[in-house]
Amino acid sequence: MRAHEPDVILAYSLAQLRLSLAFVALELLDIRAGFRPDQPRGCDGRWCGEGGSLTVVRKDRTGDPRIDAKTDELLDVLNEVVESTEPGEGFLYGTRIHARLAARLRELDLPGIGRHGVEQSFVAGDIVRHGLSGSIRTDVLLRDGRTSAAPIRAIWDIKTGETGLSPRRIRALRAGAGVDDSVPIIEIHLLRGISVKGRVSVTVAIGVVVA
Amino acid sequence: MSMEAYALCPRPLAGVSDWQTGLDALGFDLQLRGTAIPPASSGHLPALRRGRASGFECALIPFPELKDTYPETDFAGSWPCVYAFWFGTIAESIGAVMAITACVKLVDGLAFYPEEGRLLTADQAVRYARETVPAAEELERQLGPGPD
Repeated sequence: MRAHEPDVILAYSLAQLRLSLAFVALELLDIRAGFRPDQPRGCDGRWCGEGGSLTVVRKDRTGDPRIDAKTDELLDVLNEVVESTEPGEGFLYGTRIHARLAARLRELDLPGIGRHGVEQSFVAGDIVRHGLSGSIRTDVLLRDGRTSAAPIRAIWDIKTGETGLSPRRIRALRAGAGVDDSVPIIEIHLLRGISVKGRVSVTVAIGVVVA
Repeated sequence: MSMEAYALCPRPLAGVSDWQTGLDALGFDLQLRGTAIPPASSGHLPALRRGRASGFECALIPFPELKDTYPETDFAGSWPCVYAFWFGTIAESIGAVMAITACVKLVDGLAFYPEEGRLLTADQAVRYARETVPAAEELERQLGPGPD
Protein backbone atom coordinates (compact mmCIF):
# COMPACT_ATOMS: atom_id res chain seq x y z
CA MET A 1 0.00 0.00 0.00
CA ARG A 2 2.79 2.28 0.97
CA ALA A 3 4.43 1.56 -2.44
CA HIS A 4 1.35 2.98 -4.17
CA GLU A 5 1.29 6.21 -2.15
CA PRO A 6 3.44 8.27 -4.58
CA ASP A 7 1.11 7.22 -7.42
CA VAL A 8 -1.92 8.33 -5.44
CA ILE A 9 -0.34 11.65 -4.60
CA LEU A 10 0.65 12.17 -8.23
CA ALA A 11 -2.86 11.25 -9.41
CA TYR A 12 -4.34 13.67 -6.89
CA SER A 13 -2.02 16.46 -8.03
CA LEU A 14 -2.84 15.80 -11.66
CA ALA A 15 -6.57 15.86 -10.92
CA GLN A 16 -6.14 19.14 -9.05
CA LEU A 17 -4.22 20.58 -11.98
CA ARG A 18 -6.87 19.43 -14.48
CA LEU A 19 -9.60 20.99 -12.33
CA SER A 20 -7.69 24.28 -12.16
CA LEU A 21 -7.21 24.23 -15.93
CA ALA A 22 -10.91 23.57 -16.39
CA PHE A 23 -11.75 26.63 -14.27
CA VAL A 24 -9.29 28.75 -16.25
CA ALA A 25 -10.84 27.49 -19.51
CA LEU A 26 -14.31 28.27 -18.20
CA GLU A 27 -13.21 31.78 -17.25
CA LEU A 28 -11.71 32.28 -20.71
CA LEU A 29 -14.95 31.11 -22.32
CA ASP A 30 -16.90 33.57 -20.17
CA ILE A 31 -14.59 36.37 -21.21
CA ARG A 32 -14.88 35.42 -24.88
CA ALA A 33 -18.66 35.26 -24.66
CA GLY A 34 -18.88 38.55 -22.81
CA PHE A 35 -20.60 36.93 -19.84
CA ARG A 36 -21.18 39.09 -16.81
CA PRO A 37 -23.22 37.89 -13.84
CA ASP A 38 -24.64 41.41 -13.30
CA GLN A 39 -25.81 41.85 -16.89
CA PRO A 40 -29.63 42.13 -16.93
CA ARG A 41 -31.85 39.49 -18.57
CA GLY A 42 -35.25 39.96 -20.14
CA CYS A 43 -38.28 37.91 -19.11
CA ASP A 44 -37.38 35.38 -21.82
CA GLY A 45 -33.98 34.87 -20.22
CA ARG A 46 -32.02 36.62 -22.95
CA TRP A 47 -29.35 39.17 -22.12
CA CYS A 48 -30.65 42.68 -22.68
CA GLY A 49 -29.92 46.34 -22.13
CA GLU A 50 -26.42 46.20 -23.49
CA GLY A 51 -24.74 46.93 -26.76
CA GLY A 52 -21.57 46.43 -28.69
CA SER A 53 -21.68 46.93 -32.40
CA LEU A 54 -24.68 48.48 -34.09
CA THR A 55 -27.47 46.54 -35.69
CA VAL A 56 -29.74 48.39 -38.07
CA VAL A 57 -33.31 47.36 -37.30
CA ARG A 58 -35.01 49.69 -39.67
CA LYS A 59 -33.67 51.70 -42.56
CA ASP A 60 -36.07 53.66 -44.71
CA ARG A 61 -34.68 54.79 -48.02
CA THR A 62 -35.19 58.09 -49.79
CA GLY A 63 -34.63 56.46 -53.19
CA ASP A 64 -31.85 58.93 -53.91
CA PRO A 65 -28.68 56.81 -54.14
CA ARG A 66 -26.39 59.66 -53.09
CA ILE A 67 -28.42 60.48 -49.99
CA ASP A 68 -28.93 56.83 -49.06
CA ALA A 69 -25.20 56.16 -49.45
CA LYS A 70 -24.51 59.12 -47.17
CA THR A 71 -26.92 57.68 -44.58
CA ASP A 72 -24.90 54.45 -44.67
CA GLU A 73 -21.71 56.43 -44.26
CA LEU A 74 -23.13 58.27 -41.23
CA LEU A 75 -24.23 54.96 -39.71
CA ASP A 76 -20.67 53.67 -40.11
CA VAL A 77 -19.29 56.71 -38.29
CA LEU A 78 -21.91 56.37 -35.55
CA ASN A 79 -20.97 52.71 -35.19
CA GLU A 80 -17.32 53.66 -34.83
CA VAL A 81 -18.15 56.30 -32.21
CA VAL A 82 -20.38 53.94 -30.20
CA GLU A 83 -17.76 51.19 -30.23
CA SER A 84 -15.07 53.55 -29.01
CA THR A 85 -17.18 55.25 -26.33
CA GLU A 86 -17.24 54.25 -22.70
CA PRO A 87 -20.35 52.26 -21.80
CA GLY A 88 -23.32 54.01 -20.34
CA GLU A 89 -26.90 55.08 -20.78
CA GLY A 90 -29.24 58.00 -20.32
CA PHE A 91 -28.63 61.70 -20.51
CA LEU A 92 -24.86 61.73 -19.96
CA TYR A 93 -24.27 58.83 -22.34
CA GLY A 94 -26.34 60.65 -24.97
CA THR A 95 -24.37 63.84 -24.41
CA ARG A 96 -21.10 61.96 -24.75
CA ILE A 97 -22.18 60.23 -27.98
CA HIS A 98 -23.45 63.50 -29.49
CA ALA A 99 -20.27 65.38 -28.66
CA ARG A 100 -17.97 62.66 -29.98
CA LEU A 101 -20.01 62.09 -33.13
CA ALA A 102 -19.98 65.79 -34.01
CA ALA A 103 -16.23 65.98 -33.42
CA ARG A 104 -15.59 62.85 -35.50
CA LEU A 105 -17.74 64.05 -38.41
CA ARG A 106 -15.91 67.38 -38.45
CA GLU A 107 -12.62 65.53 -38.40
CA LEU A 108 -13.66 63.30 -41.33
CA ASP A 109 -14.76 66.30 -43.43
CA LEU A 110 -17.02 64.05 -45.50
CA PRO A 111 -17.69 65.01 -49.14
CA GLY A 112 -20.88 67.03 -49.45
CA ILE A 113 -21.03 67.52 -45.68
CA GLY A 114 -17.67 68.98 -44.80
CA ARG A 115 -16.98 70.61 -41.46
CA HIS A 116 -19.67 73.23 -41.87
CA GLY A 117 -22.38 70.68 -42.59
CA VAL A 118 -22.09 69.49 -39.01
CA GLU A 119 -24.17 71.44 -36.48
CA GLN A 120 -24.79 74.40 -38.77
CA SER A 121 -26.95 77.24 -37.45
CA PHE A 122 -29.48 79.06 -39.63
CA VAL A 123 -32.01 81.85 -39.54
CA ALA A 124 -34.57 81.73 -42.36
CA GLY A 125 -32.22 79.96 -44.70
CA ASP A 126 -29.18 82.11 -43.96
CA ILE A 127 -26.12 80.61 -42.31
CA VAL A 128 -25.41 82.36 -39.02
CA ARG A 129 -22.89 81.93 -36.25
CA HIS A 130 -23.60 79.28 -33.68
CA GLY A 131 -25.42 80.67 -30.70
CA LEU A 132 -27.16 83.54 -32.48
CA SER A 133 -30.44 84.39 -30.82
CA GLY A 134 -33.38 82.76 -32.58
CA SER A 135 -31.26 80.47 -34.75
CA ILE A 136 -32.10 76.84 -35.53
CA ARG A 137 -29.36 74.26 -35.82
CA THR A 138 -29.34 71.17 -38.00
CA ASP A 139 -27.29 68.12 -37.01
CA VAL A 140 -25.86 67.12 -40.39
CA LEU A 141 -26.65 68.34 -43.86
CA LEU A 142 -25.63 67.33 -47.36
CA ARG A 143 -25.08 69.95 -50.04
CA ASP A 144 -24.98 69.56 -53.77
CA GLY A 145 -21.54 71.14 -54.01
CA ARG A 146 -18.66 72.39 -51.94
CA THR A 147 -19.74 75.95 -51.19
CA SER A 148 -22.23 77.11 -48.57
CA ALA A 149 -24.37 78.46 -51.44
CA ALA A 150 -24.83 74.97 -52.90
CA PRO A 151 -28.38 73.62 -52.51
CA ILE A 152 -29.12 71.44 -49.50
CA ARG A 153 -30.03 67.89 -50.54
CA ALA A 154 -30.78 66.25 -47.18
CA ILE A 155 -30.77 66.89 -43.43
CA TRP A 156 -30.02 64.23 -40.81
CA ASP A 157 -31.15 64.40 -37.21
CA ILE A 158 -29.31 62.02 -34.91
CA LYS A 159 -30.98 61.02 -31.68
CA THR A 160 -30.08 58.85 -28.75
CA GLY A 161 -33.66 57.86 -28.12
CA GLU A 162 -36.60 56.20 -29.77
CA THR A 163 -38.94 59.11 -30.24
CA GLY A 164 -39.08 60.76 -33.61
CA LEU A 165 -39.16 64.41 -34.50
CA SER A 166 -42.53 66.09 -34.20
CA PRO A 167 -44.04 67.61 -37.37
CA ARG A 168 -43.49 71.03 -35.79
CA ARG A 169 -39.78 70.37 -35.28
CA ILE A 170 -39.44 69.09 -38.84
CA ARG A 171 -41.11 72.26 -40.12
CA ALA A 172 -38.82 74.37 -37.93
CA LEU A 173 -35.70 72.61 -39.24
CA ARG A 174 -36.80 73.06 -42.87
CA ALA A 175 -37.76 76.69 -42.30
CA GLY A 176 -34.47 77.36 -40.55
CA ALA A 177 -32.42 75.78 -43.31
CA GLY A 178 -34.57 77.47 -45.95
CA VAL A 179 -35.58 74.28 -47.73
CA ASP A 180 -38.94 72.89 -48.80
CA ASP A 181 -40.60 69.51 -48.31
CA SER A 182 -38.59 67.96 -51.12
CA VAL A 183 -35.53 67.91 -48.86
CA PRO A 184 -35.75 64.81 -46.65
CA ILE A 185 -35.20 65.04 -42.91
CA ILE A 186 -33.68 61.69 -42.02
CA GLU A 187 -33.73 60.57 -38.39
CA ILE A 188 -31.10 58.22 -37.08
CA HIS A 189 -31.95 56.77 -33.68
CA LEU A 190 -29.39 55.17 -31.46
CA LEU A 191 -31.59 53.08 -29.25
CA ARG A 192 -29.16 51.40 -26.89
CA GLY A 193 -25.68 51.83 -25.62
CA ILE A 194 -22.78 49.62 -24.90
CA SER A 195 -21.98 48.00 -21.61
CA VAL A 196 -19.07 45.68 -22.08
CA LYS A 197 -16.66 47.19 -24.50
CA GLY A 198 -14.22 44.72 -25.96
CA ARG A 199 -15.73 41.74 -24.20
CA VAL A 200 -18.88 41.20 -26.08
CA SER A 201 -20.27 42.10 -29.42
CA VAL A 202 -23.81 43.03 -28.95
CA THR A 203 -26.67 44.87 -30.51
CA VAL A 204 -27.47 48.49 -30.63
CA ALA A 205 -30.59 49.12 -32.62
CA ILE A 206 -30.84 51.93 -35.07
CA GLY A 207 -33.86 53.03 -37.03
CA VAL A 208 -33.77 55.50 -39.87
CA VAL A 209 -37.02 57.22 -40.67
CA VAL A 210 -37.56 59.51 -43.60
CA ALA A 211 -39.96 62.34 -42.79
CA MET B 1 -26.60 65.38 -32.22
CA SER B 2 -29.70 66.92 -30.82
CA MET B 3 -31.26 65.92 -27.56
CA GLU B 4 -34.48 67.24 -26.18
CA ALA B 5 -36.22 67.83 -22.87
CA TYR B 6 -39.32 69.63 -21.69
CA ALA B 7 -40.58 71.84 -18.88
CA LEU B 8 -44.30 71.36 -18.20
CA CYS B 9 -45.67 74.43 -16.50
CA PRO B 10 -49.01 75.56 -15.07
CA ARG B 11 -48.26 79.09 -16.32
CA PRO B 12 -45.68 80.74 -18.55
CA LEU B 13 -42.65 82.47 -17.12
CA ALA B 14 -42.95 86.25 -17.02
CA GLY B 15 -39.76 86.88 -18.96
CA VAL B 16 -35.99 86.68 -19.00
CA SER B 17 -35.61 88.38 -15.61
CA ASP B 18 -38.11 85.98 -14.00
CA TRP B 19 -36.19 83.00 -15.37
CA GLN B 20 -32.86 84.50 -14.33
CA THR B 21 -34.19 85.02 -10.81
CA GLY B 22 -35.00 81.32 -10.69
CA LEU B 23 -31.51 80.37 -11.87
CA ASP B 24 -29.88 82.67 -9.34
CA ALA B 25 -32.06 81.35 -6.51
CA LEU B 26 -30.78 77.84 -7.21
CA GLY B 27 -27.20 79.08 -7.37
CA PHE B 28 -26.81 78.03 -11.00
CA ASP B 29 -24.04 79.84 -12.82
CA LEU B 30 -26.00 80.55 -16.00
CA GLN B 31 -26.74 84.01 -17.37
CA LEU B 32 -29.51 84.22 -19.93
CA ARG B 33 -28.51 86.63 -22.67
CA GLY B 34 -31.66 86.73 -24.78
CA THR B 35 -34.01 89.70 -24.71
CA ALA B 36 -37.14 87.57 -24.95
CA ILE B 37 -38.30 84.07 -24.11
CA PRO B 38 -40.94 81.91 -25.78
CA PRO B 39 -43.60 82.58 -26.94
CA ALA B 40 -42.16 86.00 -27.81
CA SER B 41 -39.13 84.23 -29.28
CA SER B 42 -38.17 80.80 -30.54
CA GLY B 43 -34.97 79.12 -31.64
CA HIS B 44 -31.67 79.59 -29.88
CA LEU B 45 -31.81 81.28 -26.50
CA PRO B 46 -28.31 82.58 -25.79
CA ALA B 47 -26.81 82.00 -22.34
CA LEU B 48 -23.39 82.19 -20.75
CA ARG B 49 -21.79 79.88 -18.20
CA ARG B 50 -18.34 80.69 -16.91
CA GLY B 51 -17.92 83.10 -19.78
CA ARG B 52 -18.69 80.51 -22.45
CA ALA B 53 -21.75 80.04 -24.65
CA SER B 54 -24.14 77.62 -23.00
CA GLY B 55 -27.42 78.48 -24.71
CA PHE B 56 -29.96 76.07 -26.18
CA GLU B 57 -32.94 76.06 -28.49
CA CYS B 58 -36.26 76.69 -26.80
CA ALA B 59 -39.83 77.01 -28.03
CA LEU B 60 -43.34 76.81 -26.64
CA ILE B 61 -45.28 73.81 -27.94
CA PRO B 62 -48.90 72.77 -27.42
CA PHE B 63 -49.35 70.09 -24.75
CA PRO B 64 -51.33 67.78 -27.12
CA GLU B 65 -48.29 67.69 -29.38
CA LEU B 66 -46.14 66.43 -26.52
CA LYS B 67 -48.79 63.81 -25.68
CA ASP B 68 -48.88 62.69 -29.30
CA THR B 69 -45.10 62.39 -29.39
CA TYR B 70 -44.95 60.43 -26.13
CA PRO B 71 -48.30 58.58 -26.00
CA GLU B 72 -47.13 56.12 -23.36
CA THR B 73 -46.09 58.75 -20.84
CA ASP B 74 -48.51 59.83 -18.14
CA PHE B 75 -47.92 63.55 -17.74
CA ALA B 76 -50.08 63.77 -14.61
CA GLY B 77 -52.75 66.01 -16.07
CA SER B 78 -52.91 68.69 -18.68
CA TRP B 79 -50.33 71.46 -18.84
CA PRO B 80 -51.16 74.83 -20.36
CA CYS B 81 -47.56 75.75 -21.03
CA VAL B 82 -44.87 73.40 -22.33
CA TYR B 83 -41.37 74.65 -23.07
CA ALA B 84 -39.42 72.38 -25.42
CA PHE B 85 -35.62 72.44 -25.32
CA TRP B 86 -33.16 71.14 -27.91
CA PHE B 87 -29.44 70.91 -27.26
CA GLY B 88 -26.42 69.04 -28.57
CA THR B 89 -23.09 70.09 -27.15
CA ILE B 90 -22.12 69.43 -23.55
CA ALA B 91 -22.22 73.16 -22.80
CA GLU B 92 -25.73 73.41 -24.24
CA SER B 93 -26.84 70.35 -22.28
CA ILE B 94 -25.65 71.87 -19.01
CA GLY B 95 -27.36 75.17 -19.84
CA ALA B 96 -30.60 73.41 -20.73
CA VAL B 97 -30.67 71.30 -17.54
CA MET B 98 -30.13 74.42 -15.42
CA ALA B 99 -32.77 76.39 -17.31
CA ILE B 100 -35.35 73.59 -17.18
CA THR B 101 -34.78 73.14 -13.46
CA ALA B 102 -35.13 76.84 -12.69
CA CYS B 103 -38.25 77.01 -14.83
CA VAL B 104 -40.11 74.14 -13.15
CA LYS B 105 -38.98 75.26 -9.70
CA LEU B 106 -40.36 78.76 -10.31
CA VAL B 107 -43.84 77.59 -11.34
CA ASP B 108 -43.97 74.19 -9.62
CA GLY B 109 -44.04 72.32 -12.89
CA LEU B 110 -42.57 69.03 -14.11
CA ALA B 111 -39.31 68.37 -15.96
CA PHE B 112 -39.42 65.69 -18.63
CA TYR B 113 -36.21 64.07 -19.87
CA PRO B 114 -37.34 61.59 -22.54
CA GLU B 115 -33.79 60.30 -23.01
CA GLU B 116 -34.11 58.65 -19.62
CA GLY B 117 -37.89 58.45 -19.46
CA ARG B 118 -37.81 60.68 -16.38
CA LEU B 119 -40.71 62.87 -15.37
CA LEU B 120 -39.58 64.86 -12.36
CA THR B 121 -41.27 67.13 -9.87
CA ALA B 122 -39.60 70.47 -9.23
CA ASP B 123 -37.70 69.21 -6.20
CA GLN B 124 -36.67 66.02 -7.99
CA ALA B 125 -35.54 68.13 -10.94
CA VAL B 126 -33.31 70.17 -8.64
CA ARG B 127 -31.73 67.01 -7.23
CA TYR B 128 -31.32 65.63 -10.75
CA ALA B 129 -29.62 68.84 -11.90
CA ARG B 130 -27.30 68.87 -8.87
CA GLU B 131 -26.19 65.34 -9.79
CA THR B 132 -26.13 65.72 -13.56
CA VAL B 133 -24.45 69.09 -13.98
CA PRO B 134 -21.20 68.17 -12.15
CA ALA B 135 -21.04 64.90 -14.12
CA ALA B 136 -21.57 66.78 -17.38
CA GLU B 137 -18.91 69.30 -16.37
CA GLU B 138 -16.51 66.43 -15.75
CA LEU B 139 -17.37 65.09 -19.20
CA GLU B 140 -16.69 68.55 -20.60
CA ARG B 141 -13.27 68.52 -18.96
CA GLN B 142 -12.55 65.11 -20.51
CA LEU B 143 -13.77 65.83 -24.04
CA GLY B 144 -13.11 69.55 -24.26
CA PRO B 145 -15.66 72.33 -24.45
CA GLY B 146 -16.58 71.80 -28.11
CA PRO B 147 -17.17 74.52 -30.67
CA ASP B 148 -18.34 77.96 -29.54
